[in-house]
Amino acid sequence: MAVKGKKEERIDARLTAEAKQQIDQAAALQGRSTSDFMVQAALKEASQVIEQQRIVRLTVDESVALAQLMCKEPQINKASVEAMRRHNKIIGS
Amino acid sequence: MQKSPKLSLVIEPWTKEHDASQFASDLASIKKYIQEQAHRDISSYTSSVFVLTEPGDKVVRGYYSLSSLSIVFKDLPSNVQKKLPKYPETSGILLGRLGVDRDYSQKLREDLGYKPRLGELLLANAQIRCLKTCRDVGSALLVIDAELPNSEEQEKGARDPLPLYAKYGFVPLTANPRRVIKTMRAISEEFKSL
Repeated sequence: MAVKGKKEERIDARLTAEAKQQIDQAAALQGRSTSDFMVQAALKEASQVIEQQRIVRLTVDESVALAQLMCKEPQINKASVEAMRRHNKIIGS
Repeated sequence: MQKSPKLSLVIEPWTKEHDASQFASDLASIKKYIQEQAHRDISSYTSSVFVLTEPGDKVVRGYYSLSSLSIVFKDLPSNVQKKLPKYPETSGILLGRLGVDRDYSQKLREDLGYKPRLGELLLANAQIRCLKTCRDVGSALLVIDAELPNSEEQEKGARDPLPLYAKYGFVPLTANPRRVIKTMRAISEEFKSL
């Protein structure tokens, strides 16, 4: 996929002979080059991964509150402990 | 406590064999998610969904969904920064939805003679699961978005889940009061104390 005027980068990937054969075969079925096929497949996966990674950006106040919560000694919540006990008696999987 | 029939249930990852077609909830979004969207989120790895069933059957009686969340801190003023460790970014697990089949819950309550508290079981399971997941992927926080039932849903009997989460140690920390947080350290201490 040469793009005119844009500098092209390269990625070297190591893979087994079987994996390469399978990719070559799939690319050939769609009449595309192996390189093009791999880049498009990886891009599709990459955009999905990025989309899934939900990001929360905190304000200053929120950052302070969260940092304080994260560095103080954790509090044990009795109701939660009881819930875990009950859970362990009832749920077996 | 009265002696009652023993309750035994399973919570496992959602698969195509599970059946949520009869799932009943006063919350439209809870019903819609498990019936229409869950399978898509799972196949695209957007979320994981765990379902509550009876041993040996695949009918979904309750569920929750988990996904990853990245939390980015604002650069703090230096006078504040000095007192706190610097966290440029941290990761969390988002419990996006948690729901119980209303009809099943009512039936169980009649059979047992007490409230089965299935939501509590799902939440406990989510906390323990997240703790175990953390050993592999590392996550500092469990975050819950507690959806407020709309007025129509409240009329039907749907309750605001926020007080329940507060009861188990989740606190609101952001400008969004519906988003509550608990540290994995707190969950870990609770689990260790069992």
